[in-house]
Amino acid sequence: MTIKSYIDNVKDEVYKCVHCGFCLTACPTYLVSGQELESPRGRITLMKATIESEIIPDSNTFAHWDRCIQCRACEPACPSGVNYGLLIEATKTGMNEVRSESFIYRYNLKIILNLLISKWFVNLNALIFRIYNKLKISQLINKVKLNKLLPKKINELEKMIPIINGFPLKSGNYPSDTNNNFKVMLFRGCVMPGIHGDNMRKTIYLLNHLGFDVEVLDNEVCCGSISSHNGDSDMTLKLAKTNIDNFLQNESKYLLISSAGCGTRIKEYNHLFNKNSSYYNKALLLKEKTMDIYEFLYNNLPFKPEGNINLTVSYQPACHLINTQKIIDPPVELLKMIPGIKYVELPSSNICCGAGGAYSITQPEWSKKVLNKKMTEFKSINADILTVSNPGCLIQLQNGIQESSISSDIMYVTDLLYNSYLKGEKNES
Amino acid sequence: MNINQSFKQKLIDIVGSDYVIVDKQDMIVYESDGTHDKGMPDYVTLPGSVEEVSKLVILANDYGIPIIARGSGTGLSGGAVPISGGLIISVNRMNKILNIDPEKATAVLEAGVINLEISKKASEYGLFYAPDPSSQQACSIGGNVAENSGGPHCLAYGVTTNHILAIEVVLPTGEITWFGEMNKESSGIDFRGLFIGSEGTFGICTKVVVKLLKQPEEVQTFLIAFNNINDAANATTSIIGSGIIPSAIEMMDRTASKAAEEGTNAGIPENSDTVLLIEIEGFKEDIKEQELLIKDIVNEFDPIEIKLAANTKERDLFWKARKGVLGALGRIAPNYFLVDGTVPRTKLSFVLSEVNKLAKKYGLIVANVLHAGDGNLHPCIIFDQQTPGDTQKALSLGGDILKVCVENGGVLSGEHGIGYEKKEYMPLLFSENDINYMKEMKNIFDSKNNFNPGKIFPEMSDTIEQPK
Ligand SMILES: Cc1cc2nc3c(=O)[nH]c(=O)nc-3n(C[C@H](O)[C@H](O)[C@H](O)COP(=O)(O)OP(=O)(O)OC[C@H]3O[C@@H](n4cnc5c(N)ncnc54)[C@H](O)[C@@H]3O)c2cc1C
Ligand code: SF4
Ligand code: SF4
Repeated sequence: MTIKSYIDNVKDEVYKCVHCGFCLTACPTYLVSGQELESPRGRITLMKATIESEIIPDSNTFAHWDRCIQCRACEPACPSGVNYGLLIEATKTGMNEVRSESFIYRYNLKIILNLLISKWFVNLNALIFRIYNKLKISQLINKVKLNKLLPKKINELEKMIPIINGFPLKSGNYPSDTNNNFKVMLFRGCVMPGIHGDNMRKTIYLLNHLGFDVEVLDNEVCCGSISSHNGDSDMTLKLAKTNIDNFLQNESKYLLISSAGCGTRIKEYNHLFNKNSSYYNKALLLKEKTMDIYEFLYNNLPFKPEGNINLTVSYQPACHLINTQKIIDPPVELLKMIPGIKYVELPSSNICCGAGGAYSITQPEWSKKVLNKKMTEFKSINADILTVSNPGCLIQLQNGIQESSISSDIMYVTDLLYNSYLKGEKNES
Repeated sequence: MNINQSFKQKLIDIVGSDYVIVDKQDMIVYESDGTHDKGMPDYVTLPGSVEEVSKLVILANDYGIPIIARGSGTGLSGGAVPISGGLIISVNRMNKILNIDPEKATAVLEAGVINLEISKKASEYGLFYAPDPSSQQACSIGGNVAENSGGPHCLAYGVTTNHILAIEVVLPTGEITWFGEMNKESSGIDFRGLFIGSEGTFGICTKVVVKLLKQPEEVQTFLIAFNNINDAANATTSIIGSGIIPSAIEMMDRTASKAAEEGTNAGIPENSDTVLLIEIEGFKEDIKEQELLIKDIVNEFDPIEIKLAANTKERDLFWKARKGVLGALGRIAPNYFLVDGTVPRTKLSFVLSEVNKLAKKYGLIVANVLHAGDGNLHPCIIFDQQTPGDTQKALSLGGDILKVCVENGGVLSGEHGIGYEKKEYMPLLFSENDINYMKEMKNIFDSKNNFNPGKIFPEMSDTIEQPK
C-alpha cells in the first residue's frame, strides 16, 4: 500500500477541513516557527494534496508530519470538528509502511519500540538512572568539565536522563483500611512505575486514605500510544486486545489512569477496530470503565484535604487531558481545595510543553524550542510549585526548570494533594 | 547560476535559510488563504524585522518579481493568494507586542501580532482592542489593517480604521515610513486612512499603533431563538429603532445555527429557526434597564427562548458558537463561498428572502450569517469542489446575490475586501471612471504594479454580467 492509500482511508475527515486557520494559534510548532508548514492546517493541506496526487510525499513532507507533537490542541480549536488525531495516525501508519521498506529503519524502530514498552527494560533503565542520580554523575560531568568534551548530541541526551523517584511500583493489591469494598484498578503504564514509583505510591496512599481499595494488575501491557504515535499499527492492535481482555475480566468498577496519554489511547481503543468486530464493542465497554485519576477524585471525593500548604502553585495540564479527554477543571479545582494555596494561572497553559511521548527524543530540537517558550511563560508568574498531571510533562518540565536555573519545584497534582492530606491527618492525631 | 538560484541565494542572505521556502511540494501550503482560491508562489519568505522586509522588497524590485504580503492567511477574498506567482512575504514571525501604554491607552504592535492577543495582554490593564473579527483567534493585525476588518462589536465601536493611530509601512520602493501620528488623530492628508483597506496593494505594513478602550463595567449577552428569519430581522430593526445601541447584534439562520450548535453545544434550542446574539455593555444600572427594554421588544416577536449568559464562561460559549460558525459549515460540505454584501438594515428581510429564492433556483444550500446590526450579510454558499460544476454554480449564485444587494442600495464588501474573488463584481457598483480613479491611486504608490497584482481591479473594465 502507498502512503496515499492510507490517507485516502480518512479522506472524509480530511475534507471536513475548510481551511479557516482557526487552529494555527493552538499549535505549539506553529507558535514557535510562524510557519504554515508546521501548523495543523499546513499538515492537513499536505494530506489533501497527497489525496489529490498534487504531491508525492517525500522526506521533506515527512519531516513536517514528524514534527507534529500529536498534542491535538488543534481539535478543540477547530469549529469544523476535524478529528486530527485520526488523520495524523493514518498518515504516520502510511509513513511507517514506506519507511519500513528500508531494512535498517524497520528493525531499528521495531527494536526500539519493543524495548521502550517492555517492563524489564524500563526497570533496568530506571535502575541505571537511579544509580546515575545517586552517584551524582551529572554534577561530576559538569565539575570535571567533561560536558565540554562530550559531543553535543550526547550532552543533550545526558540532560534528558530523568530523576528517579524511588523504586519501581509493584503490581498487586493495595487495600484501604475501610470496609467500603470499593475497588479500583490503577494502570501502571511503561514510564511511570519505573521512574515515578514514589509518586504512584502516593496516589495509591491517597486512594486508600479516601477509602478505595486499589489493584495494580500484573498482566497489563503498554497502552499502545508509543507504537501508534510511530505508526506501528500491528503492535498497537496486539497491545490493545491484551489490555481490553485483561481489564474487562477484572471485577473492579473503574480503571484509573494517572498518565493522560495512556488514558486517551485506552479511551480511544475503539478507533482501532472495525465497527463489526467484537473488540469494537468491548473497547467501548472498557472506555466506560476508564477514568483519569483527576476525573475520578473530583467526582468521588468523600472529604476535603485539610493540611495547610502556604505556597504559590500553578498547573500545566497534560494535552491529552484537556484536548482529547476534555478534563479541564478537575485538577485545578482539586488544587484550589487545598487550604493555604495561592493558585496562579500559567499563561497559555493550554499549549503543549513539547514532551509528547517520545517526541523529546525523536525531535529534540523542536521539543526544545517549545519547552523554551513554556519556561519563559512560567518564569513570568513566579510560582513556588508547578504541578502537572502526566509523567511526560513532569520529565520535560523538570528538565526545563533545571536548565533555566529556577528554584521552583515540580510535582504531580496528586503529590500535593497527598502532602495536604498527610498533613491534615497528622494535625488530627 | 540561473536567475532563480541567484535570487534564492540572495533571499537566504537576507532572512536565513530556515526562513526561505522554495520546495514546490512545501509551497503548496501557501497556495491559498481562507478561501478555495489557489495560486502557487515561486518563493516564500518569513522575515524577522522591518529592515529585512525592506531588503526583500528592494531585491524583488531588482528582479521584477511580484510581492504578496501574507498574514495568517484567513482572508476571505483570496487576497493573499499569489494568483500569478511571485514572492510571498509572510509577517508571522514579526509577532511581538512592543509596548502597551495604559495611560494613553495605546499599544504598539508588530504586524504579525494575532488580534486576540492584543485584548488578552491589554486586559491586564483593564483595557481591550475593540475590532473583533470572528477570526480573531488567528488573524493578524497587519491583515486587519490591509482588509479594514470589522467584527461583531464594530456595530458600536466602528471598524479597524477607527482604532488605528499610526502604521509603519514598507513602500513598494523599499522605503520604510510611518503614516499617521502616535498620540492623536492625523492632520493633513490621511495616508494612514488611505493605506488601511488597500489589501496589500500599496505596500507592506510592519508595525501598528492601536487605540485601546476601557473594559465596560458590565456586559450582558442574549441568545434569542426565533421561529423565522423575519421575526429576527424585525426585532433587530425595532431594537435599534428604540434608541438602544447594543455593542453587537448577530444573526444566524437555521442552517448556520444548527452547524454552530453541533460544534459547541451552546444551548440553541432544537426547534429554533433563526438565532440572534445580542450584547449590551456599559454601567451596571444602565444595563439592567436596557436588558428589560430589549426583553420587552423581543417578546413582541414571539421568541422561542430568550437566554441570558449566566457568567463569562457561558458568554464565551455563545460567542464561540457565533465566531466559529463559518468553520463549522465544514460539517456540511468542504467548501463555502462567502458573499460579503451589505444592505441598509431595513432591507434585510427582503434581501434575505431573495437570497433564499436564488439558492432554491440554483439547488445549493446557503447558510446565512449576519452582522445584523449594521446590515452586513454573509450568505455562505455551501458546496463541494470535488463535485463537477458545483464551483461554477456557487460563483454564479454569489454574483446574483451581490446583484440583489447592490440593487437594494448595498455594497460589495462589508469587511472582507475585494481581493481576487470579488474583483469581477466591481463593475456592479463602480463605474469605469471610479475604477480608473482607484487605479490612479494605486499607481501613485506602486507604479510598477508589483504589489499584489491581479487583485481588486477587474480584468476588463466593461461591465461583467456573470462572474468567471
Ligand atoms: C472563519 C472566518 C471568519 C472571519 N470573520 C471575519 C469578520 O468577522 N470580520 C472580518 O472583517 N473578517 C473576517 N474574516 C476574514 C479575515 O480573517 C480578515 O480579513 C483578516 O483581517 C485577515 O487577516 P490575515 O492576517 O489572515 O490576512 P491574510 O489572509 O494573510 O491577508 C489578507 C490580505 O491582507 C494582505 N496583508 C496581510 N498582511 C499584510 C501586511 N502586513 N501588510 C500589507 N498587507 C497585508 C494580504 O496581501 C491580503 O491581501 C474571517 C475569516 C474566516 C476564515
Ligand atoms: S497535534 Fe499539536 S502539534 Fe500536531 S498539528 Fe495539532 S496542535 Fe500542532
Ligand atoms: S480549524 Fe479545522 S477547519 Fe479550520 S483550518 Fe484548522 S483543521 Fe481546518
